[in-house]
Amino acid sequence: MLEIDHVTKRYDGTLAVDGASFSARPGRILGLLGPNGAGKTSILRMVNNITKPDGGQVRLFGEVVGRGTQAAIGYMPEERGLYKNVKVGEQLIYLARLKGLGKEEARRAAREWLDTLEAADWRDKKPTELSRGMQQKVQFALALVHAPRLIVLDEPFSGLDPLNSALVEQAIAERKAAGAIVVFASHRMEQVEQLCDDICLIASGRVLIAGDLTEVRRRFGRNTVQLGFDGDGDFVAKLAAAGRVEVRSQAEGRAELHLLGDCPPEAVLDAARASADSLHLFQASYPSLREIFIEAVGAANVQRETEDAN
Amino acid sequence: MLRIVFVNEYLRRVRTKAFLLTTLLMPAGVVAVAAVVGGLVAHSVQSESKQARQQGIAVYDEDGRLFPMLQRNAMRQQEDDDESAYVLTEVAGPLAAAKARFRVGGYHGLLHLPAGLADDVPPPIKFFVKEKQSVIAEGAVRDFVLRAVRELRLARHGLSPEAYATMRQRLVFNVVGLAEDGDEKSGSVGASGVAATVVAMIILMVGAIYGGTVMQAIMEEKSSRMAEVVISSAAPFELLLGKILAVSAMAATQMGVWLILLAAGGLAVAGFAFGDVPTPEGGGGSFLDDEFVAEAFPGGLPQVRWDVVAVVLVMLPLGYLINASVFAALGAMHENPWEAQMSVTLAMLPMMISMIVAQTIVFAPNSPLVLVCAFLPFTAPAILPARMLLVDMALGQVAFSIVLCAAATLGMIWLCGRIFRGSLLIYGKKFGWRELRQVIAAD
Repeated sequence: MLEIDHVTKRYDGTLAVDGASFSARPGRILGLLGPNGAGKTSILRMVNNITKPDGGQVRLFGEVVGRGTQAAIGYMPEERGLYKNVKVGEQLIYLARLKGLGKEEARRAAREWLDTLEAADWRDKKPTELSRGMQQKVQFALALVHAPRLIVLDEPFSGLDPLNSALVEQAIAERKAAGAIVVFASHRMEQVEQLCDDICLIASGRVLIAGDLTEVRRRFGRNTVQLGFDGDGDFVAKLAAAGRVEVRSQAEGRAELHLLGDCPPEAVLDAARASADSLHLFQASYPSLREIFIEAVGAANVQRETEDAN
Repeated sequence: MLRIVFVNEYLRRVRTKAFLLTTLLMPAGVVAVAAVVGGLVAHSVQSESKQARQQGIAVYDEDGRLFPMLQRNAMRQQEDDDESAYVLTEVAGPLAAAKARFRVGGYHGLLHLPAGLADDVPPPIKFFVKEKQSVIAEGAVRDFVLRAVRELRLARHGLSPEAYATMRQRLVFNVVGLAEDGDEKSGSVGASGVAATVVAMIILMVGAIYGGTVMQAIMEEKSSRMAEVVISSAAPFELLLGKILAVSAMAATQMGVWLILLAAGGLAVAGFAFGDVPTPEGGGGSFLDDEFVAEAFPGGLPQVRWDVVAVVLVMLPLGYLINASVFAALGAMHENPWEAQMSVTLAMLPMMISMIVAQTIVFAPNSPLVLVCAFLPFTAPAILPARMLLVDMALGQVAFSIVLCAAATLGMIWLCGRIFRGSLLIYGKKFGWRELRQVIAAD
């Protein structure tokens, strides 16, 4: 288990991480979300023992992270690259050796990973001979070559085409199935929603939401209603005017509404039945991660502005 | 971990085509150029000398006693140099007429020996030539002329050539330190000064050439954006030390190959091109002959001080490492190679100070400046061994200086590791003193 326990980090007077606490479990994928400058990279660097927390602790399998835990972690940072003039195979072996693998073991692991990523032909090529997407796959292999028990990926899909994204997703899923802890930071909500079991949403260095993704969505309630109908759609405008819903989208015979306050989905259903000629679609669903993100970060911003004003 | 970084960095550097080309082709190129130039020069000198000997020299001897001496000396030089003798012809009449005849005649030169050459204030000798000639050919003529004049002067004072040879016998003047326990320690001030300068020069040269490579290696690590991945696997200290040691090993490999190739090539070229060229005074051809040594080291060559050799062998790598760490820190602070190059002066400063102090050490080995520099980690590698040659330093003092230098070297590499680690957080931002303070203090 990876535990971030009341961690604080300050850079030259600026509070980058403010008492953050969350955890990631083996065999599960945690999505670390947050706007730019939220403190995601600062947390990932502390997990990787690149920097140390000013307060609190980062623990991996009960041990405070340090030199002893580095070999168990595979890290793909957002600012990443490759040695320009070193062959791909040699780079993989070097990193695997740094992570504690023996010479032969490192060679074998490098070969296997290149095969897994359908990149066996690149072993003797230099990065300058590879496209950006190809380089990205090699960077991904660098993070996983030593079969780490904790995989930390910062924006792993940026720059990858859908086919290669699928390949990487599959590799992540396999590591998860093998019991590894996977933490990945991303801005791409749909990908997080699709891959992650848990999320941690941070803003201004503070954890806003953390936990099982399904639980989090449930916590926000079934607050989105989708309607398909024939006939008069005036009821939508009336509900909005009454402050009971917010109209997300509306077209002829179709509407997506966000429930406000304590307005139950049944209230919308009743209004639609009363007004429309026929109702052929009614679906009350949980909010998307994007909606949760906007709502939570927006609320946090308001709270921070209030605190600043006080 | 250090070994993995070191081996990887070393192999990466020595396996490149650029390394192989510069290591193998550069000495071959230098030797080839030296062979061609040396061969051409030697051929030109030999043909010029042969032509001059065949054409002969007209001698205008106002004294009248020098000409036979000249002929004798020319014959002796022929025996020494295994060359044909200069054909000497005495000319008489007014000097102006002799010069006029020389201008239209076939002689190589006209030698004007004025009267009074054995006087206390002798007039100048003039050697008229139609074309300027090589230093070697000119030296050969001057040599036997001066021998003849010397004989004339000895005769004036009633001295035999044997007496002159006795006067020229070298005297050895040794300064010997006598310790309380009766131990004698000899040492030449001149040789110590040379030793200090040589050590400082080596550190300066190696630092200047390979310090830049260390700086480049660090900048490459940063610009490759691999540093964050590597630092999440190895301590910055190990990474830095591994890199610096790998560049040092590469430098040692390169210089070792150069030395072997240059020594072999140099010997071959010297034997081929200069083996038969006559040397002044008809010596055996060695530039390190007794006379040279006597002039360079009036106190004689010092005995080999193995304790000083041992200290040099320890301090030389330390001196390189501490200076290389400054280059590494500069590499960590810059992303732009041009800006990094501008800041190199800063890294060269300690080495320049060592050079300057090394030059002055012979004048005042006990001065506070020299004393401080013998202990300061940046200057001690050059100054400590030199001072040991001049002053009786206690073992404890020497050990303290070495330990201090070693500790400072490790400290510098550690500090540089922090700068390197901290600089990773400052992509694309100018690295000033404020940032430097931040990254050193950062945890």
